[in-house]
Amino acid sequence: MNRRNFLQALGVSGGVSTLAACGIDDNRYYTPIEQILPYVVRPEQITPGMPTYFATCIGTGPNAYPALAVHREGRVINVGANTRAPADNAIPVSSFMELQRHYSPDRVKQPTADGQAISWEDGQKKLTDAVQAARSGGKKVVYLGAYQTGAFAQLMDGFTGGNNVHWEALGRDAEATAANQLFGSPALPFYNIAKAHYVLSFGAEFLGGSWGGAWSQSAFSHARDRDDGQFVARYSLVAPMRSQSGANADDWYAATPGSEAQVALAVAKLVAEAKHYSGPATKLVAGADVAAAAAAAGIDAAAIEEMAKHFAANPALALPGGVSGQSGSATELAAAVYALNIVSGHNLMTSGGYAGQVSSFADLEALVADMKAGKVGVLLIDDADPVHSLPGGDFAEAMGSVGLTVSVSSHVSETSAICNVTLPSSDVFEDWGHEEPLLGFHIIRQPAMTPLNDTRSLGDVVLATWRAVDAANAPAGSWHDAVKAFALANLFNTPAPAVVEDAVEDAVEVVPVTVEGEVVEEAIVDDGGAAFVTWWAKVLADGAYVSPAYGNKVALALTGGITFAPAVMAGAGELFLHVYEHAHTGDGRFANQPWAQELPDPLTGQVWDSWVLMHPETAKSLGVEDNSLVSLTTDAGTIEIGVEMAPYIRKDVVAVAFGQGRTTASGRYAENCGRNVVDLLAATKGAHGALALQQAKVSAKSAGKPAELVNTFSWEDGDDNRGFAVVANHKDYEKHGDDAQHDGGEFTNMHFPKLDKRLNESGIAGFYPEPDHPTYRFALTVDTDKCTGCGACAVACYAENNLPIVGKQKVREGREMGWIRVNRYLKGDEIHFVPMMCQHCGHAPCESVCPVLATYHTIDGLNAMVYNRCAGTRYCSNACPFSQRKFNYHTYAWPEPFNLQLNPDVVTRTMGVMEKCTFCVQRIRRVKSAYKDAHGFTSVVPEEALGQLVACAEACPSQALTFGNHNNETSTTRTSRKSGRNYFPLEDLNLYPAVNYLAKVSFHVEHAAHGGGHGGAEASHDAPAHEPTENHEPAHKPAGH
Amino acid sequence: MSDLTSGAPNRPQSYGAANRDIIRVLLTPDVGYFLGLMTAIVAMVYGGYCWYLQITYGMGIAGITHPTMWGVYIVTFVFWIGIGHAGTLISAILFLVRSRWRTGVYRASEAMTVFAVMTALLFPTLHLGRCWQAYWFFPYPNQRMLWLNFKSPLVWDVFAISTYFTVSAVFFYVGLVPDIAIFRDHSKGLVKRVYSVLALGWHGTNRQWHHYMAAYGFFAALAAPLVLSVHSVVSWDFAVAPTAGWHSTIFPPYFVAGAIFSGCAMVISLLMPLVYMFKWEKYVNIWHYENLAKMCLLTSGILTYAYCMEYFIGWYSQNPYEQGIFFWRADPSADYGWAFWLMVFCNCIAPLFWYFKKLRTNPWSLFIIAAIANVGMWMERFNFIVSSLAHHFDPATWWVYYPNWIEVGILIGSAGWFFTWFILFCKTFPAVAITEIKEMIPPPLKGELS
Amino acid sequence: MRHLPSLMLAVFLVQGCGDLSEADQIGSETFPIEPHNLLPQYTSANGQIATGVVTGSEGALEQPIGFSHEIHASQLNINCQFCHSEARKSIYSGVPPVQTCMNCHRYVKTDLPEVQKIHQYYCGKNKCGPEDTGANGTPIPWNKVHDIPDYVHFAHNRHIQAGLNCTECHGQVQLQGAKVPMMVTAEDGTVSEQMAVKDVMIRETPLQMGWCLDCHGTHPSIDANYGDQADLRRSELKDCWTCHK
Repeated sequence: MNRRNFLQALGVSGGVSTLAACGIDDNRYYTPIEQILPYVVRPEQITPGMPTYFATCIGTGPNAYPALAVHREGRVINVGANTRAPADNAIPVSSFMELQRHYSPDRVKQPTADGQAISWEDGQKKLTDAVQAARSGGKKVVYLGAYQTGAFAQLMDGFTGGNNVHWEALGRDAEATAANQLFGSPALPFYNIAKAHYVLSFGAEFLGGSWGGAWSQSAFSHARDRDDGQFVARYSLVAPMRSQSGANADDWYAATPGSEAQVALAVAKLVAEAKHYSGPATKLVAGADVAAAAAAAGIDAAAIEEMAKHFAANPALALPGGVSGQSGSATELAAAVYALNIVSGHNLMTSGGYAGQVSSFADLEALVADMKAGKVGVLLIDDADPVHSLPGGDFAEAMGSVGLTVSVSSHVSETSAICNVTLPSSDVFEDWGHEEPLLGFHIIRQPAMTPLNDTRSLGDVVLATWRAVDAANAPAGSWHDAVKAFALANLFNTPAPAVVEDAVEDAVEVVPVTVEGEVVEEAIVDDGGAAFVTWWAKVLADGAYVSPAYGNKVALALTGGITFAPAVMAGAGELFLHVYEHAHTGDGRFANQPWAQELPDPLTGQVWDSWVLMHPETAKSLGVEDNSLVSLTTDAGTIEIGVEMAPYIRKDVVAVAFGQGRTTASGRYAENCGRNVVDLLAATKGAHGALALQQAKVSAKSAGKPAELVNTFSWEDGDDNRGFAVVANHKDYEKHGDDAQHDGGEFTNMHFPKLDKRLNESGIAGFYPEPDHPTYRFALTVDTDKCTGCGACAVACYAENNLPIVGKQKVREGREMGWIRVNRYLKGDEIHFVPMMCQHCGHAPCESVCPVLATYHTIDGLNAMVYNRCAGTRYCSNACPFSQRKFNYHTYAWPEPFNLQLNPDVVTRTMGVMEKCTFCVQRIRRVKSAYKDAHGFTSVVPEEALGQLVACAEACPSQALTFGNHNNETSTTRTSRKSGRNYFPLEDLNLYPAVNYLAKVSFHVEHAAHGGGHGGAEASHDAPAHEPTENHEPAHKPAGH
Repeated sequence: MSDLTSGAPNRPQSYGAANRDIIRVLLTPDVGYFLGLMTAIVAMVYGGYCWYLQITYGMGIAGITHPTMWGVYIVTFVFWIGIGHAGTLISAILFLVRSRWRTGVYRASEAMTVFAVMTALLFPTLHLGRCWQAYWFFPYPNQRMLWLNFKSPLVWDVFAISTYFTVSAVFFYVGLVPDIAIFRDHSKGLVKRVYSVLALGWHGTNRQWHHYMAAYGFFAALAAPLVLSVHSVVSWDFAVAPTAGWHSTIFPPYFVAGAIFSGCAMVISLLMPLVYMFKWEKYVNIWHYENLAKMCLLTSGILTYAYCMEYFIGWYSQNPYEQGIFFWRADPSADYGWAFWLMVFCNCIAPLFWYFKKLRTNPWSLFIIAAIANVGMWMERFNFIVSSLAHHFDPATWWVYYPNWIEVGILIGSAGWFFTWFILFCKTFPAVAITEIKEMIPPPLKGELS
Repeated sequence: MRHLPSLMLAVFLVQGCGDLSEADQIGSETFPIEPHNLLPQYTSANGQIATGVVTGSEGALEQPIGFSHEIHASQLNINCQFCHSEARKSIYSGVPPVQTCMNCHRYVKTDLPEVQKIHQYYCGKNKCGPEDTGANGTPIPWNKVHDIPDYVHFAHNRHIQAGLNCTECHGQVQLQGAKVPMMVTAEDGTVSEQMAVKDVMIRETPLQMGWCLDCHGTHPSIDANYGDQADLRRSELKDCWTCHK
């Protein structure tokens, strides 16, 4: 072969391979060929490709919220706050857990009996026969479920003859009992947090937990917001540790578990003296002893005086204990808090709280006794899991003595696993319903999609059973009719009060009424006429209805008294065992939701596990450190659990979150996540019958090996003065607020040093030119003072943007995919939450380094990421100073039916590409399109349609996030940059980010020193009024002002 | 010629002897050779298998983790690019300055350059999340109307390295041509035909030599600046990003010095066993090694200075991010403290032993310290790449990275790939430049040929 | 030397063990991770996967019903949006529900075999009566002809609102699906020449990115709609995020 031949050969073979590479492809279409399946009959309200919003109700009892279910092509893909409901646009983080629970692969898909699948007819017959037998045998038919009100409670009352137990593991029965004793009614009081200048909480999880949920979070945000009342609410916490809500407290008085009631009463006594109170509550507070209370709580008497001083000075509100205060004296604590609120005369605690049935622990004990005695013929168990979460552990045994145990929940649990029969009910997105979380505030639940599985509405099942056994007394019609009949009888023609807040108009059109195929006009049981039909359609469209009772809040009149008995801590251990609420799994009901498990715990950053919190010095004395396994022993039992060291807990207390430690019975994701703290508890009651969760002393010893905790917050000691978490002095803030008369960043000293005047004169505004965006420059403002760390933004982002769940092992490898993370920075025992997401920098380092232009700046000021142009060099992530880009290490799949929840407007990414926050560009696209349709092609989307447009801002119950168009002079995102609290993390890098942060307002920081440059953070932290880093002794805290 | 003889004893006495010595290695290889080759191939296949797994399941089965997005792959990439520097430096720059000690070592080091760059070229592809899209990094017309981002240092890399590879390969080949002709003349059958094609019709005529030397000089002049430019460009991959610990103007000179240091050390490490195996002590000996060691000593000094300057600037800037990175990196109790101090020992302290002539001329100390220097240069890249990322700006994202078995497998595989080429080359082409060796032999008298 | 193969085998076995433990974790039912097929691939919400490239624009997919656009759009002169009624308000054009067909075909041409197929889909019978509601019908499983990859956001409403004609992207649909003489095999196996619908729907345009971009830079509707902001709009239209999800 000579050279010429060789070259020829090379040419030919090269040509052939090129042709092959082009693909000789018979199929000229994408593979696989996709199908289009149009409707047979298209429902009127639904336009394929466009979302339909159904106003509905998520949650039950006091934690029911008006919400919008976002419907696309037959399935619910997201939830959002209902802007038309006459209430704060707030939904709790648990609504998203509810959404994911709806699509859980572990949902019960059809009726079963003893583990065998049966038909609904058989199941219904079994239930009917058992009820029939129970009735004829004189046995009870009992319903056990979570807190519920309204139509369903009424129905069940009728069906079971009042044998309803509405019990929750982390319930509010102590408050109800105390209210019953003091005020003669078990209805819970209403706490007007928004008007409080001083909030004294005895451990209530009111900023994100189950105690007050989203509304109290929203109310506190208003109280904290200077523009809303010319004050900054101060929040003091009396609790053994800072939980997620407690992390936001300005002052933390670390009282021993069980001593809160004494402290509250002591404060009440001092407040009564200061306010010269002489009303009926005098006898309640007379017995208090400040010195004894201080001694019992292990805090200074001066601290109690400090609390009383603040409480007496301004409108103040005390909140009871919730889970944290659920000691043997929980009822006393609630009563003391009531007394404190009454003697202060601030009148922020009124009637009008949750008025539904709150069963006490005594009720449950009675039920267990009845069950054991064979008096219960049929036990219907709804969303309650006593087998997992009831201390004492004899519920499962008692279930054996019941004629027929029926699980009517659509979700699995330890309890449902041992029920005789499972009759899965439709869940909140598939069913009708009605709830009344606050007196007079009615929320109507309507189905947002057809049932996913072979489930039936529980109301229909009950009605059918009732009619089968007692046709004479049973109501006619379906459950849907029953809800309407309830509304007609109880709500219709009650004039709505005038105090309805203006519903915010939205670009979104809320579609009224019902599911497909159902016509409003038919089957009205008790005819209310055409007026009712119109009214009903409007109520459904609004999702909520406010009756006069809601506006009629009055001071609670003291009619009774209570005896105060101190809490007893049982056991021989040297440490107190403190039980607190897991921030995301609630009382354990969301333990099987991957979002709840993978979202880092706000305080510790732990995922997929439970852990014991202990003070570093306690850990040191035990010879353990982070992630060591220790065994905790009480009189009731022993568990082995990993250690998480934390400075925000008393040294003599160890804390374990409630709600983890589920078994396989609770589903594949809950399995093996942590330990169940209930194993350490006995069925101890207080003097007034409340179950004591804070009941035991515990002895801890090292198990001598590491645990398997995964901590995503790798850095323990704060932000190292890098200016990510910045605080401003409250006096500055109260004086000047967020008005624009002051230089941006004045209170934080985090502003960039001013340029020389001569540069300004020659038109040079900064190191780089301001980015040029003609119409929009989308921007986000994050108020870290309002952020409570609840994580609603993060989980909303998971829901909106199809973020995959990676599981514990991959998180351990550092591969969680969250686009927003609520970073926690510690300064001593002070905790500062800062949500971090892509900052959409005007001069973004990631953009210039991408070799293939997969990331670039859009004309709207967004830092765009085009997934299918990305080759995966990951250079952008290295260049990103905020480390806010996430890499798809694998192609993750969504186990069915999770895939049904995926947002069709967002592609799911495959392995090897980068992704990050897009500012929900799909929503921006949609709103722009809507405005073009309505107002012409060159129309600009106004600010009011943008404020809560992005998923995180929409979900934030505290309204800490505001989205907007920076080009608009009046937008919040623009004006907030002139706030004295404004700061940009890493401002000295000249990135011109689109996200600006507002500093947290602190009562413990002096004025920011006026030095130059970016070192302001140090200046802010150098002179705290007290020095938490050096002195962890909680008893001396805080010095205050 | 007296200046040339002083350091180079045991020179062959005739052209024929030189031919025989070099051509001897083409004869049937022994078991040792095959064992070496098989080891290299096994390592290569192992690395290939790891890569296959990585493509199938995603980067997630390697150890890289947020925020350390570049791990062993880029470390090894920079390492091999650095190794690839010595060859061209020795052959081109020393050729231009007429430093005659290059003759014995330049061929092997050029081969090393070409193969090292070939190895390095694997890694940019290998570390991609979607390596099947690697062709996007070249500007080519397409219906999507997409172009490259010429602001990106990675695109500069593509041009710099492909240019360097092309020029090095051509330069290498040009230098080989007269020697291939000798092989052609001493072989027969199919082998002869292959060498005939590769020799490009070389007959050693005066006219050919005239053109040849012009071309060689031209390529030498073309390649010389590339030595400086390529690693400067590679350093911009880091220096252009705002990441603390990378964002430094000292990077280009510091990289070039490091590259020459590691390259020369690698030449020592490669040549010593090779010379021992092929018994070429006549052509390559202590004189050459000592010169290489001197180069290492110089560049090690530059490196030490650069390390000190990095720390000085980190401290002097009072920039919390810079300080944070540099102090953390050097903290012996921190996660990467061991890597830092290993690097300091290997790159700054170990070469100091070569200050002593005795150690500089002792084969064992030469070999061991050169090996240490190679380890040290890998650790250097590991140090600044990984530690700067693991402790990025935001403390809340800090996360420590360690390579896992997939990455180690691919690292081993890359060595296998390199040595496979090198070992094959040694048996098929002269690893010592015959024609240039001959230049050092006094011109033969009549009758002395053969 | 002779131990080499076994050595290599040993290496692979060790490697294999490592792989197994990794694969065990990767393939868990709880957190499924999918192996890759080496092509760019994006998964849409409905779980289907679109891969590969479009290479041509000819050829027809077989469709469940021999629907003729030519008869409806050309001969009967029905507007596109009469049936594809969502195109102006949704990102989808809205393939009409079976009921839309039934609006006419409940009474019209009910003897045609293709129309009887529609009745089958609507009510499960060859001839639906006025009492049949379609409640138990099944959707017609059309094969997608104009399919864009799942990573592309294409909004029909924006294009219709901008004043584009359907044919600009879909080709001369009104001429597609004309009746031509074809050899048709009857049920009894006899083959005869009959008039039948050919190529129910074909794709005439490439639907590739460059083709989209051509229009996005030059289409006259931009000037018409945006006036003096047309240049701004043109640059917006070339923005990746205009189309890419």
